[in-house]
Amino acid sequence: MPIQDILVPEATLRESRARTKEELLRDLVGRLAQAGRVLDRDRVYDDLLIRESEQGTGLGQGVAIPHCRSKGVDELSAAFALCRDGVAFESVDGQPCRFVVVLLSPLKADMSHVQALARVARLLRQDKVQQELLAAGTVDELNRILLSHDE
Amino acid sequence: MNGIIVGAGEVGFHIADRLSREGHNIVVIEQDAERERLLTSKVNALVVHGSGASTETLEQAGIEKADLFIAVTNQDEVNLVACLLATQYNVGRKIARVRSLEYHGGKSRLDAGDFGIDLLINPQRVVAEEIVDAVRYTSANEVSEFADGRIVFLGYSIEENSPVQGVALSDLGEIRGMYPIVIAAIDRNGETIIPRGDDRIEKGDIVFFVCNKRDLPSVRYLFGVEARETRKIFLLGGGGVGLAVARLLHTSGYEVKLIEQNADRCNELADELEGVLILNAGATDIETMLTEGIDEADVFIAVTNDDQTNILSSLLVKRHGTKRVIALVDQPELLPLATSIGVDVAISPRLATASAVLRYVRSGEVLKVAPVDHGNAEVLEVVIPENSKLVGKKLMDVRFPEGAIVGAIMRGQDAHIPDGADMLERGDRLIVFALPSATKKVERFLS
Repeated sequence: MPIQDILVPEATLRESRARTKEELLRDLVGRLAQAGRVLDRDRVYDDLLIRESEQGTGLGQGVAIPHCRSKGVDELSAAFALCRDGVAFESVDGQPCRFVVVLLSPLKADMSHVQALARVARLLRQDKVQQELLAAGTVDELNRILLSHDE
Repeated sequence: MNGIIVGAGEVGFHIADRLSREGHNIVVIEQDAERERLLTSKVNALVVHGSGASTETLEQAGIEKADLFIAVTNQDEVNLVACLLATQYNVGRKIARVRSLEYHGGKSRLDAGDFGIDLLINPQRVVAEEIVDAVRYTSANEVSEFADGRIVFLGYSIEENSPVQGVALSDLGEIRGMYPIVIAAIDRNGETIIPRGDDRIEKGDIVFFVCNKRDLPSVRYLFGVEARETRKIFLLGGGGVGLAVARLLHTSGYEVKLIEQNADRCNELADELEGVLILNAGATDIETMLTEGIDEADVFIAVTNDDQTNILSSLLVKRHGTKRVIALVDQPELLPLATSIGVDVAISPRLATASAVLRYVRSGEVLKVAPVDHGNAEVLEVVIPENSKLVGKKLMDVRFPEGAIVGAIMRGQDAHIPDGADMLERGDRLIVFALPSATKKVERFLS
């Protein structure tokens, strides 16, 4: 599952002002909805928060991948946000998260959901990728970096 | 260790096999020539022909030098007398299998001490406890708890469209920060393998892993298994096991209906079990069971003394809508078959008894052992001793014996799913998954 197939470039957020993960999730779900990838944004938002209540989605090293399976989507979709000030995601290492991808999956359980999670995790935890993302000046640049390092 | 095992039935065979593979000197006493031949051909142990209740045979088996004595014939009296005799020879530790509650249990006038026995094992009780564990974990094939229940070891069957089907173990490693589990082994077509990073999970696999109990909701999400609340339980067979299971489940708050064919026995059960509905019906009396709601039952447990009845009735009620079926299966040959044709959990009294014995036999640092995958592997809870050379080393720098993997580290009250960078400290308790060939090595490695 290449990131190209799931990332919604027009939803990418270069300077998130969100202070809490709730604000950030609302924001990203809204952008995915605008891009036509979300059928029911309240439902998706609620499903994301349910997952968050069961476990933090912070992976450590400043990366978080909030995710859920939801009736509110019908295809696997992802949106990226750069949060320079960091947002708390109950990470294993206690660090605030600056690199956040929200990943939405339709209800039908199959392996692409887990594989996409792994793929995004592998990408965002690389130092080199994180440096480049922090240095990027435009949304297009962010998207290009995300896609070019995916393997 | 020099051990003598009396009785080469399924239990004795299994214990002899395991202990001899771990490097102990084992002598088995057996009267039946057929069992004797089977043991000699498959297990690296000496066999002495005769009765365990005869001093002559015991001496022939080298009882003067024995420090462990395990009597597991199918006759209680032989086991008890054999242990009494062993006491005369000052054997260090003595274990007897005792079926009858006359000799063991609440109403018994005797206890192990009267016989100079260290451990009396009642297979019925062992089995009943195993069944109750299986009921409590609704989606898992096998379950054991460690570290006072904070760490669990589970096995999940991978069905078509499972979210992890086709996923590589290295992928799960990437998201360990969110889903902290250690995959210990995979049963693939009846073979237990310890997978590596590039191995993928396949349909039909049973995946065994260790996780923190508080992470169970997220682990269920990962595997796509919903947490189902178990309430309604049907139990078939009102013998000793059925009675014990009904009592344990009822006390834990489940709604239990017990089906028993024999009307007189039903009356006895009704006296013994307050709050449990007793149904006088046969194993295939699906009409009665439907009237009582078998189609909406969460779990059906078949514990009659007939394997075929247990397996068939389980499959029958599953067809009618019961969500999960557990069958007692005595014959070892039928165990893998039962699970392959739709029985969710097959429990073997003999394997359960053998592991209870093995659990006791393990020396010092091993706190608990649980059998996994029909006895093809084990999970051990071990302590790192004060003077161990492992203290202060990182997990990734320790050359752990091949065939063994560390699933969890407990330090004080903290239970933790490790990665390679974790440092070992003295007094740490480890949950280790091991293939039989590695069990002894793990014990040696730690000391």
